[in-house]
Amino acid sequence: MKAKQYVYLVFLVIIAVTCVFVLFNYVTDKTGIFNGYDQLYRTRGNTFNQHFVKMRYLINNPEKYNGFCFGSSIVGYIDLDKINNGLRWYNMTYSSGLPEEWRDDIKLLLKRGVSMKSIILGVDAFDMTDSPMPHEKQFSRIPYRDNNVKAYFSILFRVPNFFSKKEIMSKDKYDTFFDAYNSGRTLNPAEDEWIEANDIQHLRDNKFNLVWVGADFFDNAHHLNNAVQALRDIKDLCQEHGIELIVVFNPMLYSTYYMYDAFYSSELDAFKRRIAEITPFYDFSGLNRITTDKYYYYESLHYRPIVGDMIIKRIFTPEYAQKDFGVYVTKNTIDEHIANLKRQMDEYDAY
Amino acid sequence: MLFNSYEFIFLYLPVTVVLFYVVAHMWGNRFAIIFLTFGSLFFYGWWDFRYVPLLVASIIFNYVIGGCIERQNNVRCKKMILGAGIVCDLGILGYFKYAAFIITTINDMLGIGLFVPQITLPLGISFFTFTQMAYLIDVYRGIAHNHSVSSYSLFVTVFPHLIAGPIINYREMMPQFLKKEQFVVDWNKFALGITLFSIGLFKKVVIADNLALWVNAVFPRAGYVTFFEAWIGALSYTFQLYFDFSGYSEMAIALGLMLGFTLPKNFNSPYQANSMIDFWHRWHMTLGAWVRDYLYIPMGGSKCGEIAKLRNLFVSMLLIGLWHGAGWNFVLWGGIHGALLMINHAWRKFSGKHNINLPIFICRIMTFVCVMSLWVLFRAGTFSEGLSILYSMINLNNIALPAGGRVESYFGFLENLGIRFIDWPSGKWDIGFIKPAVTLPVLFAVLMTLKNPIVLLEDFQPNWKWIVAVSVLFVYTMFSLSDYSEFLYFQF
Repeated sequence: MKAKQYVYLVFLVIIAVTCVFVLFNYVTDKTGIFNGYDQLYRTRGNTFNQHFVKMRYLINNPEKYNGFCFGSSIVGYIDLDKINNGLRWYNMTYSSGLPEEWRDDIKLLLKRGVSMKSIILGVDAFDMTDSPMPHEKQFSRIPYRDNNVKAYFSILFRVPNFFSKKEIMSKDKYDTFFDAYNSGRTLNPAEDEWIEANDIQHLRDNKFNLVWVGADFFDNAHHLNNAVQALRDIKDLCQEHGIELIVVFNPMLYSTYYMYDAFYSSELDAFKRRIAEITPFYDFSGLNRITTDKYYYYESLHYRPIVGDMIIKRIFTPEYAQKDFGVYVTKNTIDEHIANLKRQMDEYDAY
Repeated sequence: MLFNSYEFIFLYLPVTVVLFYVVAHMWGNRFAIIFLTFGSLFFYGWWDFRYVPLLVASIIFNYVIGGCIERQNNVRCKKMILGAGIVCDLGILGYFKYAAFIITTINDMLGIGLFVPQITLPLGISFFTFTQMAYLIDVYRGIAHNHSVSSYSLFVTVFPHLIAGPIINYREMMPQFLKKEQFVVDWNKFALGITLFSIGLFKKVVIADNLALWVNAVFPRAGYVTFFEAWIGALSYTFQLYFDFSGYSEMAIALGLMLGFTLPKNFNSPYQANSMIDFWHRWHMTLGAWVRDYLYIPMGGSKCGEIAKLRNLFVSMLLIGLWHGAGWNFVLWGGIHGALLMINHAWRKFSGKHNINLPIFICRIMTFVCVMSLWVLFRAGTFSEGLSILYSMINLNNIALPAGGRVESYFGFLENLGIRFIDWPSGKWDIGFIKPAVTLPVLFAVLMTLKNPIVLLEDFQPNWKWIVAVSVLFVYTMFSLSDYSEFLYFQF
């Protein structure tokens, strides 16, 4: 065979096979980036890229909402429709969302003319340990940027999975719905029903034994500085654009809280102090009657919508105050608050 | 811009190669050289355009110095000009690469607190500095001649070798740039080029980058790893480094072939080496040749007696270690290699005298174990972390297998022999067991026995088998490009 013929044939075969694979990936895309659904769902495999799809949806509908809640999947169950302050709220929850990503999202949304009057940030303890860098290479977490050519390429040029099963909607209690084109919430109706009907079984479930401490546990580099800087940047952006900022430290199930206290106690205290220096916040973490009761949680990380309702009430209904759930912390009260949290821990241990 | 990126494969490469030949055809070789030079500067600037002036300044400086050396008849003046050129080149390299290291060392030694600057290392600075220093020395020796600035610029910047080698030699490359028929498509070279590029890309993206996941899950946990985890980490890094660097070198050579140039070979199955001497004849061959020609031989080489020879070897290896990175662990790595080379030379002399011949496979295994152990020190964050991993590799009291799953169900009986079954690291530290237990021995066997791609392609004949092989490799690799990727020699 002549060399010139060889070269042409190689290119021809490569182009032909590539076109087939790219088309396959486009048609079978489960991230939602190429194939939108009215209401996306998942079974136990998590493939829907909420971050990307929601950002695109908001940019394409800049006036539809003006109140946003940013956070990881943990804030996904908060029903923001229960906030009655005249704003049109959207839950901008997405898997492993981190402050650096929220900052980039807010910047881009503002740049693209999305209306913003109020922002709630749902901060988690792992915000101080986890870097958003790995998300760039995870199909279900690729962020939406000004230029998304690389993201599109990544999806179209991923190794085709010819053996993936077609997802079927079922009444399995693990089925989760992402209301991406409406409230933005995550919905787990079947599981909530099951928990109400089988509360004892729920409390004894093994899923509470898996404790999350953050992905970078063995890395010496903490991302605390990066997270704090991102929060500071968000505060500055809000001030610049006249946006109300509400910061919430999410309630952690006691087992998760214990793990952070064991390994990251001083870092967690430092994180909260530095947040308080930037802005007052509502601290729902610590040991209280909500965080010490598994009934209020799906597993060791995600609290149920009923907890989200309590968070909303605490923030937006001044006369409502859970005595130990949701402490309003400022830079003047942070020391006393941290001392109270330590006292809570000691009292709980003694009990 | 990396070779293993969408923008390079789909945009830069086809546009540059096609336009190179079109420009050559329409306007002649000189314009093709100028086009390729600017194309290479664009390639370099894709990383950070602010450093393009540094590269251009370095090229102009060395070209002018080369011209001055060549025109100077007085030997003493020639030497002074050469000295000035070398000092400036090393000064620039020293500033960007070693300033922080030197200041930190002074601070540690004297207990003072001098400011340590955070200096970004320009891409490929070690490569283009060494390349140009060699040019100056060759001009001084009278074995290289100063040609046009455009040819010289292309020699330094030609993008296949610019950021990660191979280190090319002026005397070997310049005749290629000056040949009239060079700038017409050589379909045989082109066919060989696309074949070799596919293989190199596959080695880098599919093999090296996947091994990186295991390496990155083991080394940060240096003090916590068990016996098998330590071996998985050590072997994975040993193979990752080879597949990564040799894959990139092969891509560079392949790109040169597509442009009609022949770049020097850089690897020759190094893990098939039968001795440390043999290893350094097979690993990063262009760096070895550079150090031999411009450091070892000028120091006296092997011509000043045995002690001097060993001293020269040791110093050369120390500097090779320092070339790899600004850190005492790199110096130590180079120094230990130097010591092993000295021992090897002494052993060669002794065994030759007494007619002792060890079996080849023992020599090969010993060499491999030495090299692998030193790679562990090279990769570890600190010397003590490296020692932790090496210790775990020999600590038979720390043998553990993953509890639960198939491993325990098949090998549970090993508990009677004192092997523990423990919760294996999960999440981002999850390396599994079965996959590395199968993959690593296979890779070991491949590297120990098979010919490397460049040798394999010496008798390359285009046929349907190669079409299928290249297409499969290339398509599979292209669809793996979005996976996690790091390039190890990116900033040397």
